[in-house]
Amino acid sequence: MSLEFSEGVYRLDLRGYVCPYPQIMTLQALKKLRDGELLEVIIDNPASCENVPAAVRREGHEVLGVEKIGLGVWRIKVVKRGSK
Amino acid sequence: MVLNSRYALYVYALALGLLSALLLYSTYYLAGRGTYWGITTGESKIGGLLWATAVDPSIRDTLYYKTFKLVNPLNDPTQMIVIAILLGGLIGALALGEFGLKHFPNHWMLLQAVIGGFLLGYGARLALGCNIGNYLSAWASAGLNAITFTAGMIPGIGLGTIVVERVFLFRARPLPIYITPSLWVQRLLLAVAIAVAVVLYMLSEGVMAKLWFVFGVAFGLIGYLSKICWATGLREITNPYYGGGRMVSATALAILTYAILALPMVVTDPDKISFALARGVGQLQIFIGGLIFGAGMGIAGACIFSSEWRTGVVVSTQ
Repeated sequence: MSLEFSEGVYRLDLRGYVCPYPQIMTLQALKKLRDGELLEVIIDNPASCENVPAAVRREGHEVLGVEKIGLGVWRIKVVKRGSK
Repeated sequence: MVLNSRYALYVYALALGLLSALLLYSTYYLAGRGTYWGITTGESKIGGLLWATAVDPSIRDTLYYKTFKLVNPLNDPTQMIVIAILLGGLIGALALGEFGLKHFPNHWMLLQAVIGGFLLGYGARLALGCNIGNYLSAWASAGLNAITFTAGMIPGIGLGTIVVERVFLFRARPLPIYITPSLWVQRLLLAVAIAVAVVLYMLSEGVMAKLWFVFGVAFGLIGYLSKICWATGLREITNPYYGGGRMVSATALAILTYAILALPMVVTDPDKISFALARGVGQLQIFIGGLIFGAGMGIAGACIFSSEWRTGVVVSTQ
């Protein structure tokens, strides 16, 4: 898993991972961001469409949306809220 | 029916509870005896049949398989529902174009899956039920085994999650192999999957085998569409960091719906009901089974029910 930065957006490709990795890795990645920065998480585990946003919201971050970007692939957009 | 609102999870949870109660009433009216459903008995029989066929036929003489006899799956409701859940998950994924070969593991992830799966199976058989038989159905049956199994499962999943964090988290990796057939291929596979389901239904013998098969497909479909995750729901209790409480409330809603809808039959004709009470084993064994099962869930990242419908979606580590 690597956190990439491109065009002003952080991206985390978590395709291939199943629960609980997407939640754990998303929360860990968010710790590296500053307040207001955007993280896009790419997943292909259907349950993570529900679990990742729930975990992220619980930590006080903002979920902009979950969108399908391909067959069986989703992008979750999260804005970091709170100081680094 | 695909629902996309934030409340979709709860609607599907209601549907799961409703279907479970409907199966109870259906078995009562068609066979004279209402049955709370479970899946690991059928899974153990399928496993036993494979072992007896490929490895050692004498497994049929063990005490366990003298009690839970190895019979033709087409005649057996407990095995038909297992096959059907898998098919239901597959049909759901194909219908939405989300079927694919993915989650290919490196050796650490494979080890994690094997260990988690072994503990899931071992714990479920020790307790004579998994998160369906000993949790969903057992709570709906108001059985003492529900309490003891849950009491073991919760610390078990906490333990399993710690093992994931300390041992597998930075070692387990998926291989970058993602094979997602095009939409028209998925439509074709959908037709094949439905045809297989119809053929199996027609080949199955007895009204109960057919009934459990139909409900199994529905359960698999709901499992896939809802993405309801029993493991996450329990993990949210032990490690709230990993969830927002939605899964635990959704699973509680499914249990409550099942219990309330079953109540009229339970009150009027309890002698004609096979409750999910894990009869024949003591509460300590159920607790230990729950603990092992919970650890398996924590390590595998899924329960047995989810593992089944996800296998239908071809999640390779399941």
